Amino acid sequence: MTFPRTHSLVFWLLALTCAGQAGTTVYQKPSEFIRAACGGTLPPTNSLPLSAAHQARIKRLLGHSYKPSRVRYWISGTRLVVILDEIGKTQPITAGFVVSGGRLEQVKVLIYRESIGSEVRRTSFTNQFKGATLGGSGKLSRRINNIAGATLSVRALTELTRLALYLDKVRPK
Amino acid sequence: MSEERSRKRRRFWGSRRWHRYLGAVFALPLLWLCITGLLLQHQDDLGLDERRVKSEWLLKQYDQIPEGEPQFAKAGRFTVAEWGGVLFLGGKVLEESGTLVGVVAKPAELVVATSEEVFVYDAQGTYLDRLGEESLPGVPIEKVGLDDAGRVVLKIDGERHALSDDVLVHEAVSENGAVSWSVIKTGGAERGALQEALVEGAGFTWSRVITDLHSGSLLGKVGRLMVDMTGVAVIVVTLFGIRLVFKRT
Repeated sequence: MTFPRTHSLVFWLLALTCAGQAGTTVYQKPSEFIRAACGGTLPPTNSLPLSAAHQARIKRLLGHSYKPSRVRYWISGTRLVVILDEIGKTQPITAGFVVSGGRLEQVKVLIYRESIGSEVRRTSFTNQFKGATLGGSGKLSRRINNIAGATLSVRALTELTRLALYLDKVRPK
Repeated sequence: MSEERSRKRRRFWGSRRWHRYLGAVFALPLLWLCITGLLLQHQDDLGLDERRVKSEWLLKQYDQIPEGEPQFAKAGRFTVAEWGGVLFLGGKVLEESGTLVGVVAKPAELVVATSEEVFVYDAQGTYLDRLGEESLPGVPIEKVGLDDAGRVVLKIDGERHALSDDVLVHEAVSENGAVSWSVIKTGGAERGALQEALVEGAGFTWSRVITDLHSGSLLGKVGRLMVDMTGVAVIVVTLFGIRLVFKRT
């Protein structure tokens, strides 16, 4: 069977078009992050229903309301552990947050689905968030340096950090 | 002999020869750039940023239409479909995605199970809750159903696990209890409506296609390389043209 030259050309053009599209990268399973943050065990799951007042405040932090309208979180001592999702450019970034006493202890990118901008997973970037608190105006107490080429992912993580700090503030204690 | 060789060399490197051949080879790509450039320049007047692309081939190039056939499952008055990982509820595209495993309807909630996650919606279709790997007894989920007590039951790794009413806690349950499992059907009957929903949701207009045609991105690296080469060729042809003008004078 002969394969016409034009078909072969179209095939290679399409193959090259599709090349370079990245898939999902799981850096750490969310359950493993929670276990690591909670001393090796998975504590009972709690749920915070987001009321209209919560969503109005979240809208100012994220620029939009948070979906889903219930947020799951885990408590270990005084620490809140929460897994949050936010769209970077077109795909959601899943990140784990540990907050204690209104201060961010840890942020880690767990699942990254975008084709570019995965530099936000590096500890040199995420360490900038350590110790950050949420000001009255909804801004972080620390200035976060941008990463060239990963602006939208940086923005998404900064917004999620604000949300995690807000959730620690409003969760039942 | 050497004079013959130098004449041949002069002819090979001559401006006229290169001007002619480069012009002939890159005439079509240059025409392509000119036409797409003009279209982009007048995209507002032509309404290119409003006209939606309906060509199935083009939409597939941009991954706007998934491969294969859509699958769907019904629960109560709800129909949930999945096509290439995109989920649809009542014909509308959901932001959540995954491989559909099944759907069950509780009195006030709809539970959609994908192989890796479970999504909970209220009776109006508002997204309420998400159970990821951290909230499930394991993944992948094989089946989802409702038991006699109205609890959501998941089949994972051959074992059954029931979710509490608030879907915060799960427990292993016996294999013997009756469970009404959700059934997934494959069919192309809704394909047209789903494709329309995808096209509407994507807001995919001709403006983007023309932009990618102009930059060559529509054909990937090869297209971009061709546009680069055309640009360089135009510069070279112009320089040779200028040289020829001065030679003649």
